Amino acid sequence: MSSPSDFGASDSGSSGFESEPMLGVADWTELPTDERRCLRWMLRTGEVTTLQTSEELGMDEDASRVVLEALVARKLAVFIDEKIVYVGNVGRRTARFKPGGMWDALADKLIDD
Amino acid sequence: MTTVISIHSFRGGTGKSNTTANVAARLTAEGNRVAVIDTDIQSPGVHVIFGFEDTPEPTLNDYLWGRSSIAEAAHEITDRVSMDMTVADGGKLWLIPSSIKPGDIARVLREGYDVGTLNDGFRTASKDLNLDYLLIDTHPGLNEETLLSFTISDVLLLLLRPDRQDFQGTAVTVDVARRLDVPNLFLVLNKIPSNVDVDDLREQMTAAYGAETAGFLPLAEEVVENASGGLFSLTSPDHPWSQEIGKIVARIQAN
Repeated sequence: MSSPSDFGASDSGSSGFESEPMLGVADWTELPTDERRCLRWMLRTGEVTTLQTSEELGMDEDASRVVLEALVARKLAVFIDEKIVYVGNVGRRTARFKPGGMWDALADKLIDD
Repeated sequence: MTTVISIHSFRGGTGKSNTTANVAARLTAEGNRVAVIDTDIQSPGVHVIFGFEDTPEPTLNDYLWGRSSIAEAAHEITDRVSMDMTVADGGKLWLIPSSIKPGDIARVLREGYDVGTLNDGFRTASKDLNLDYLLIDTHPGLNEETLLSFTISDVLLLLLRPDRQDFQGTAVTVDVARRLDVPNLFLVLNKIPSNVDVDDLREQMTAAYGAETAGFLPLAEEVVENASGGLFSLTSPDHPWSQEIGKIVARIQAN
């Protein structure tokens, strides 16, 4: 598993700067235990405070803040302000229709119908 | 706090939707507030077991595309239980269906959707409907929405048949579920032929997966003949298949 700092901006070399790579849902299995536990709880809870996180994880506020900051660095959470965190962008179900234009054409027809 | 239950199988045709609908109906009859959400967007079907030819609108698809709130996509269907079984005070059932329209299925497959929006929907439905139980009927195999539902679940029911392909695929799924820290993982064996020794099967399951089997649903001609035409455990409550559904419900409630 990469550390949060590994997810820095990258230059694609062809089209300028790309956005930072997103972790997909499948990557959650590889998160460090504390981060995975925190993410799971945040997905159920939504907006949480740093104090609530500390209580949930059974850590002092400094230690739980490290976990939250790691999730923020991975773009899985966002700080709304200094004390409140919200579970952030958790990924996108990617499109399934890939081969050529055939499936797109079919989808267009089905949607039009 | 809502108990979130995902019903999943590695392969199709294991009886996920039928089990989901019957477990939901029995939980409702016992006086719980229950919602079933059909996240099998590619091949929805649980609405049929609740007696709908077409999916009632708006659907989960409409919610994911921002056309409706999740509460609007939740259709109260308590009458589908009360027509066959007495519902204890407070019992209510909602269905959040996925669209059966080919164009809607094609659009989701082509465009995808924001998994976070789906999770927001789970959370909002649980809160707004004040649910005791949220049952998530998943698409077979492993994809974004099934992994999300595993992650947020209190209980995962993994269905399989006594079949080598199912056994192998279930091992993979159990491994993923454990990595995602699912707190309560139960296996449910379905379509068990009458000549199979259930006690022996129970031991094999425990040895192979290290997980408890919550139900052993027999292969029953009556269930096959029912052909998703209603809630079998309500219309035939004394049938061995229905009795096993009752055991699954009891195991869930014992948590």
